[in-house]
Amino acid sequence: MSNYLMQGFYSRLSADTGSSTNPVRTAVSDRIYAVEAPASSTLPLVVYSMESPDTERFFSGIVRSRALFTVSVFGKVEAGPDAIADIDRKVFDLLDQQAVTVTGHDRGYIRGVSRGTPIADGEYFRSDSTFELVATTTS
Amino acid sequence: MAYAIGSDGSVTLPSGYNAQLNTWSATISRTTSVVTGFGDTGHQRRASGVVDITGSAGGVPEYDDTATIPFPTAAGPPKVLDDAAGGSMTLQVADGCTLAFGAVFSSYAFSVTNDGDSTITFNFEMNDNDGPTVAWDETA
Repeated sequence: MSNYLMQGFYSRLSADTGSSTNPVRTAVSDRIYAVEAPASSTLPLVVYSMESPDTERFFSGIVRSRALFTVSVFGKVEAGPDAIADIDRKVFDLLDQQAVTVTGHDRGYIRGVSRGTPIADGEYFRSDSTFELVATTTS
Repeated sequence: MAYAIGSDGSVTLPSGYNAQLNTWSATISRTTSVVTGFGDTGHQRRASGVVDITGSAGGVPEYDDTATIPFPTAAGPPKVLDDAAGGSMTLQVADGCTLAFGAVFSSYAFSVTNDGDSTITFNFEMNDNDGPTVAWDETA
């Protein structure tokens, strides 16, 4: 089930919002990775990960899942914090308050929980934003 | 013997009432009267023969399908509430362990939070001249 939540979240993160791409993909040249980026990846890039979803059961057997996703934007220090903040804003605009298809669920609904702030982390800047995805099984 | 857990439970609302429920509570009560007399050094009480049930059932409203409206309404327009009659409902603790009775609904509590949940609670009171029908599985 959590696989479906991951897939639903990624489907929005990689969605085509025009010209076969979206502003986040364009900003990071399609470098969007789950959990961890490959070593020595070119910056900037986006990494997203999911925390274990909470489940809420109903008497009918239906289960509502609520998962938190962290979306981290990494960029070169020399690009400056504004560049990271700009990508982070694009991530928020792309994901916040969006309905997505989640297999076996009524729908998935993504909403922003916290906004990222660029911080220096060694040789790169990093900004973490969190989102919640809520989806209820249909049977 | 088995020990009941919450997911063994369920609620069957009367016809015309709808929601995706995941909690219920009910209190079975009787009025008691103090009949302590002169000379008694402790209270004496008598319990009424008339039993009552009040309680609530809560969950999430449904929409975007047929027959999802939480409570009966007139065909309309206007689509006003038409719920005064209530109906028969069943509260289940576990398979074969139920309380069934007629009920009317005194209130519906909606709660909608923009970055949180949307919930509904049905508050019911018994409307049954011979009280609840109790079933309790003792076959194990």
